[in-house]
Amino acid sequence: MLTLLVKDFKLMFGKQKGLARQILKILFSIFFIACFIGIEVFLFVTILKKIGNIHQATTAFVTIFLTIISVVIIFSNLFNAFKLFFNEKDIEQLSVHPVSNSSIIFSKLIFLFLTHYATCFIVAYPIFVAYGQLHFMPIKFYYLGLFYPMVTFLFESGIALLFVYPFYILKKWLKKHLMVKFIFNVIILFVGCYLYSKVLNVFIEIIAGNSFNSLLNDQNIGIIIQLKKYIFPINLLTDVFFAKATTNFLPALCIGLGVFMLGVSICIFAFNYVRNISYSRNNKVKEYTPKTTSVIKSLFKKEITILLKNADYTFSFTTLLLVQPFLALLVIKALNTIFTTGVFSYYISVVPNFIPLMNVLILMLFSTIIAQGANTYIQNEKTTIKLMKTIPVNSTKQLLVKVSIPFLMSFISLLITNLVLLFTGNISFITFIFCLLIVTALLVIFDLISLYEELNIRHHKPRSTFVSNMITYIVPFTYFFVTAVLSYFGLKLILAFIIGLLVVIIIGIPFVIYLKKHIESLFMDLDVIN
Amino acid sequence: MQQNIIKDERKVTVSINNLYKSYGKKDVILGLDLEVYEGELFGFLGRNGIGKSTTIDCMIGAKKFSSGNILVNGFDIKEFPLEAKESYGYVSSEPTCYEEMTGYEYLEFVASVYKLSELNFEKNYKYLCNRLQLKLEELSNPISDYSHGMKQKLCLVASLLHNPKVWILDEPTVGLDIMAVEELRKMMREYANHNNTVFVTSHNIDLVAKLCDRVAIINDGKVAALYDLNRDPNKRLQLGKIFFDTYGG
Repeated sequence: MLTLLVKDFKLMFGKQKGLARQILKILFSIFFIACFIGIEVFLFVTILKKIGNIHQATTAFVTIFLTIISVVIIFSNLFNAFKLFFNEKDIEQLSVHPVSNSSIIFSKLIFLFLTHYATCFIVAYPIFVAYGQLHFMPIKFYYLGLFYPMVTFLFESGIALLFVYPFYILKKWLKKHLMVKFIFNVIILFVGCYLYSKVLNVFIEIIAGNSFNSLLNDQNIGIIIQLKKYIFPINLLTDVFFAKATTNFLPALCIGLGVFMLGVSICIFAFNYVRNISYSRNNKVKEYTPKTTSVIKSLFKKEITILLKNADYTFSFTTLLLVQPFLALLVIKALNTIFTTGVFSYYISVVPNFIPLMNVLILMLFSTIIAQGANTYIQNEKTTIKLMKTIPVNSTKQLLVKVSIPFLMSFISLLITNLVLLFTGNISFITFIFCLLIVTALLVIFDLISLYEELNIRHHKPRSTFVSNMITYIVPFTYFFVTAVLSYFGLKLILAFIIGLLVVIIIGIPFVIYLKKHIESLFMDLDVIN
Repeated sequence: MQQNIIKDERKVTVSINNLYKSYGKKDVILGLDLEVYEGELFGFLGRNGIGKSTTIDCMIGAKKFSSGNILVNGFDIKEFPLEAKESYGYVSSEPTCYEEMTGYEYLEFVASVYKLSELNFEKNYKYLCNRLQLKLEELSNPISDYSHGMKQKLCLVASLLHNPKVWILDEPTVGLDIMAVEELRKMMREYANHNNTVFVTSHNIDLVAKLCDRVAIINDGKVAALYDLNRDPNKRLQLGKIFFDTYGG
């Protein structure tokens, strides 16, 4: 059993190469969790202090807060359960080892419980501690907080297990239907953007009103209190933990147990089914008409086929490009509002070009950060580098085709984004023209530098991304700060833009010259696998 | 541009002269010389890690070499790489193809980069798939769903689509079933008989001994022994022993 648990742990979290990477990952995780808990507790305590005097408002608010956490944890459990129960390689490996089915399932459920407890503890425990401190009962809530993840496991994991097989079927189906998968990804991102816009609006309202008062009015609090009545079973649990209504524990437990039993039953049935089926193959004879195209067309076709069938690429790059206009509009509109209203407007008035320069900065960051999802030109090829080296096509031509596809896609998205910003009145015509020029130049340089870094991968070591990261972050921020400071001393906007364009071009020229000279040689030096 | 080298009234299709190749400080090939003729089935033997695949990688232009020169069908692989690459078809021991594509997509890609007409493409892929018992209906499936043997068959088909002058095979029988190996043997022989060159490396000494016209054994970065098995048929029977003797086994 322990061996199975250790195996699942390794499969779930994988092995990071190198001690430095492991330490970095742990430090980053700790930092991220600390920031998250900090913001969470701050919001929770601030809101609770505001509504503490209103009858029923506290438990209603805690219920809403814990429900949001519960939804997040259900999704987290769903992904974990998917990795645990429907990892095809794991299923294949386990089927040849003398391990009973019940041991496998039991170990996976224990693992699911452990990950659930850890996640729920990290997210929900600070809420209990903060609540205890506010109500002068810290010890009580220190203890109660330890039990909350155990109680919620039944319901939250039950829901996750209930949906894990449909999720598996959906993933498998989407794998075969690329266009639907693409549309699906776009919808998810648009929903994400929409929710983000709502959060952003709340944030802007807080900034503009300088407090929560505008949000926590009587009407909104009334809605929260009404809403609490319908959120089963979290409302029952908050009554148990926060309102001493212990009689609600039994119905909460029954609901949780019922959902869990149902979820486990369906999941076990599906797991056994997947273990025993032989994957059906497409044996239908399709009418096929041979087609050959020009060399360039075939290279483009090959690249597009590889890229579109790469799930990470589709999700992290293509769909992000599609939502870029919407996302950029949201962020730029919000930032423009923040810096032109309230206390900020006073400070910003001394830097007259702050807003247009900031808009260019945002688009520089957006474009290059999104482009990072598509700059793995050589890594995408893996063992087929040898194929690239043996086909009778000039390597420069092959590499330029590789770079041009993501570049063209990024450029189209950038153009649309700029047009949206122009027509919605968020940027001026001058900013539109120079933003397009500066960011396009930056994208060209970014893509070429990424190619340079990719061509320098040797002996299967990870690629050094130092220069491309400099282009993504340091160049835009430095440009922004320098020109913003110069604008304080009277630098005209158009000059600031021309400086930006020139700086980007000057940075890029050495790389263009170097690549032009050494591209063939660097390509030949790439490792081939026999 | 193209250098036609004729020796003993035979055209040299692969010519390796004084080839040197090292990986950092480790020298792998130390002045290797070799000539392979038109219409010849040539076996290139050597134990693991001795430099067979490195020699082939230099031949096909997949790796740089320190010095020397290599001509494939009269084209210098450094000076005229594209012409040299059009002259050969290559199959590696591990099937190398774009697994994201279907079999048809991959063959279309190969046919397009070798500028094949649709008519020739259709004729060739159908003939080759039939010879290697690769079912046409399988070509509609993604290559990632293929077995190792099927992928290797697809790579074999792709390597011959453009009817190359030189067919280079690096341990091509790995993962193939016995029927496919037998068919491949026949195909290699037929291909050489049609005035082409087949250059093959294999660990299967028996296959090489029965099939090849000439064999070279590589040791210490050079050709340690070269035998014409047609002129000296006894060597076919002794090839295994010669192989062991070369490496002091």
